[in-house]
Amino acid sequence: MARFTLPQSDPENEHFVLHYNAYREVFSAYSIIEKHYLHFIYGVCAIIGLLGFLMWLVLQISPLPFVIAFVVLLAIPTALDIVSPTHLEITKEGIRFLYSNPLWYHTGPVVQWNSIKRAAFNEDFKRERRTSFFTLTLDTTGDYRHSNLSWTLLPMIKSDGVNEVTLQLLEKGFFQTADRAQFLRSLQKHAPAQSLSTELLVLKAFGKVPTYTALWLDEFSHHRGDDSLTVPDGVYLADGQYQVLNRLGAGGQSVVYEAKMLKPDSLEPCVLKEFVLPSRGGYEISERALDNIQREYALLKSVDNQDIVKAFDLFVEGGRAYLVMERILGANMRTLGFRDDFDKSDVVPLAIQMSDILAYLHSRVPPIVHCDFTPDNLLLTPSKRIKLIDFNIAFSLESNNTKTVAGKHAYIPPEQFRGKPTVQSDIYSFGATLYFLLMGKEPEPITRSVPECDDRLAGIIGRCTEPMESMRYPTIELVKQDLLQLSRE
Amino acid sequence: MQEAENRDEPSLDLVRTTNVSVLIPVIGVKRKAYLLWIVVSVPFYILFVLLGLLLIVGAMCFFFTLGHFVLDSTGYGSLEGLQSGFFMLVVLGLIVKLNHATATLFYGKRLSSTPQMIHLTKSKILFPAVYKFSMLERLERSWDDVHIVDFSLAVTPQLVHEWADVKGRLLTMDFKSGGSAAIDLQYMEKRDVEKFLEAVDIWCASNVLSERAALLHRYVLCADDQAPLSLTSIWTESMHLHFATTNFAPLKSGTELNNDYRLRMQLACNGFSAVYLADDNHQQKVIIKESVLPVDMQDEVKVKARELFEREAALLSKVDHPNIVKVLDFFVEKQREYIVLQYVPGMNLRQVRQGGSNIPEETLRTYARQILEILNYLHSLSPPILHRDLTPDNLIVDASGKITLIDFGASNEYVGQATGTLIGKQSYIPPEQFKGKAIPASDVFAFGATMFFLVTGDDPVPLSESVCSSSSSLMNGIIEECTKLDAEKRPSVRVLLDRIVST
Repeated sequence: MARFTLPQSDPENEHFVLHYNAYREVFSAYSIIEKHYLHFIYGVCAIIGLLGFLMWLVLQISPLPFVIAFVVLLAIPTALDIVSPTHLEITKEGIRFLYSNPLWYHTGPVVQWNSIKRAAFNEDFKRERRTSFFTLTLDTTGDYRHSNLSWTLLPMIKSDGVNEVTLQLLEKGFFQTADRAQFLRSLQKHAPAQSLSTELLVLKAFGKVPTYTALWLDEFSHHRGDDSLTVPDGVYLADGQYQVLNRLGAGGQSVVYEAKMLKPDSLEPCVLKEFVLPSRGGYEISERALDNIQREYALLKSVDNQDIVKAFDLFVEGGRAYLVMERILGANMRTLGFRDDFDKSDVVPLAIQMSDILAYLHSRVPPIVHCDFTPDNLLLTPSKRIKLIDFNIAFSLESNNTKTVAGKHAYIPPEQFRGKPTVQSDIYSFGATLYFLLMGKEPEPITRSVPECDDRLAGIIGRCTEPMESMRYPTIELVKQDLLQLSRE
Repeated sequence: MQEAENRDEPSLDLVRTTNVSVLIPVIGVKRKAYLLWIVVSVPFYILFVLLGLLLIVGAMCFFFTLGHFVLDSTGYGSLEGLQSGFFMLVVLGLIVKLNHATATLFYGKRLSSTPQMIHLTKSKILFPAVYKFSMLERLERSWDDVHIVDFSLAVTPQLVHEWADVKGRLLTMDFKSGGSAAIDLQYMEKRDVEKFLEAVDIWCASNVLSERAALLHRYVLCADDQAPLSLTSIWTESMHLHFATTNFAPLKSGTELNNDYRLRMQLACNGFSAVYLADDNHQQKVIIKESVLPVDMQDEVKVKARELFEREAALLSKVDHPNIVKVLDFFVEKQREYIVLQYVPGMNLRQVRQGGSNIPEETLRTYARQILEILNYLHSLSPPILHRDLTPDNLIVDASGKITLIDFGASNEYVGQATGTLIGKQSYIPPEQFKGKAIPASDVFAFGATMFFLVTGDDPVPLSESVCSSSSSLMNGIIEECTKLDAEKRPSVRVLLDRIVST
């Protein structure tokens, strides 16, 4: 029936219909009643109505109590239904809520983009549960209040000031990351630039989705077939923004591709790191996995160092998350270390560069512990610069003993293995990496590694790879000082 | 007919079939509500009929006999009585109509005569008229329209145990273009639930099952009609422990492997590997472990890794012990390695310890004896097999207290050797294994750590000696000696076994 049909989204005209239902989260108990026991309420209503009518007809009793009971019973579910939006419609003009309920399909007033005074993203911790929401402060001198359905916004109104009103949209209300991302994108695009808070701008990190329809149809994942391990070369991703050129390699949890960024003005080369999100354990699990990747992205974004790889973007497509990173030309230190023509005298200047990178990370507040400072994650550019390219487990500091440990165990110090990494853990990995570069072979795990080389360098590396934390260098700065002194002589 | 065939088949094959119908129990709980509706309305019908008749009869009496004498002086009877009589009949008719209309709306059209079916085809889902109301009068939906499939209850071992008594088991299907359908599972056959969830799993493009629904799917597939329900819980625990991002795309349900196995469900995935529940040619459940080596690895390393895999798998398939899960098969397909294991339902030792209070010493001793016998058997083979990944998670207990070892570190081991990464639970790895030199005494360390977990309920601190002070001096002694960091100071399996048996 026509009256129940929702408007279709039309990405070309910037018209989107997103699923938004905050009440599923807020009144989950109610939504169960509403969904499954509504007919009982209506049945009781009918009986009361009939009874009242009969009593009035036959026994001449006042029908008023029955009428009241009838109205109240009918009003509760109806009212809750009527004020629970199910969709959010985004147009060029503004946003409005759609209420696609069995009883009544109606639409809320259009909230104009230009009536938004402030838009922010807030988090709230209550009873150890994180709730996050978008708050939109609206200028009410605009005309939406005069709309005859403006009262449907009431449940969303958090505060109501003079000439302004604050709407609160639960982030959980958009249960699909894609919808949330689309809302964010539209907000960033259409809302007045000065109204957006800084957090909202940072939030760009939320997966970018090419188009609404492309996501739903999920064409890409369909056509690729089940068995393909990799994205074929030449494929365009993110609505034609990136073109995959070829595969570079695979890490523990991801595959890395070389790609180019197709911007109107440039064809910058970049690297796409692809994570296949777990898809069969429930959508919550995929979201959690995506959260982790977002954290890596946010971390890379917050780091600003010329020797650490830069992240440009993060998007989700076909059940896979892609992290777009700077393309660095260079040789992997692991392959270099195995090569016979690797000049061992280069190690000291390279070590000083590495210690610079670690010193930068450790000087951050709070200090960033990389946790995986191994030759695999270091590249040497033709101009002899060391670049740190991987941040996969840097953030996962909250480890526990039951978690499966996965890592290059030759580079893990005992305390990290026990799940308590500190800045000194990176110093151990640093020492082990130097040992590898000098000797061309993996160091012995959890032992002091002393390479056969210049005694002073061997001493420094030995002190870096002490299994006991108290015996190891306390900070990377001290290592750097010793290395500098060594190189000067 | 397609449906009939499907019902007779022991297992469904949704990849070949394009059409499945699922019987839903409208005549279940809802029948009660409908009966209530009828029972309540019938007295009203009777009342109205009587009232109407009474009025008509009364009016006619007035009209024909007494009317012109009594009611007025015109000589003609009043029509008012007749009018109100007819009015009552019209009202009655309206009420009957309304009642039917609402009943139809809520319960579907031919309520008692036709069974209510949800028709699932490769391209769309067709709901019965029962859902007219909640589906916003659009009963035919495409798979792209499905938003979320959720289950109303948390799937806990308790729920699984008391399945028959639990009310309010609703599977809710939510649609993007509005509307939802709640399917009551109480009177629905398990086979139908299975079909429904499997169809969603295979035909729905995106990830629509919620964590609860996915757990329900797992329960429905793993539940064994013969075994007590509680014993299936190993596969129904919290899902996030089992799923992480991967560097390959795991196979979809319904995929055929090696022409012998058909995947039913993905149970876990992480990094290089995935675990599936599958059916073999005889419709028996098996577990398939898949390992995928990075495609770009140098060829010689890959060849070496594959050789290692085949050697290990061949070795493991010779293992024949009642307490060890059997390796049924192993093969390589499309550059991925597969090991087929026997499916063992039950609870693992971690669940046993976390589910209840302290384990009595007598039980601990039987567990210890069985684990040691397993190790003794593995180590006495030639060449000896080192397990390398003995943890409470890998040991399953059945109803009679029999322990089965379900996992081998081998598959992890060969990926690890090929890529230089260590995979395992760090609390159960002794120092020498960490250094890459596992010896039989390494499994003794893992045994000691496992016993420590069973006694205290906590994972031991990695790379340290575990000391516990329980009431059992025997267990305290064993744990302390087994978890010595120096491998030479640990007792041998034989000695431990003698100690357990003799005291």
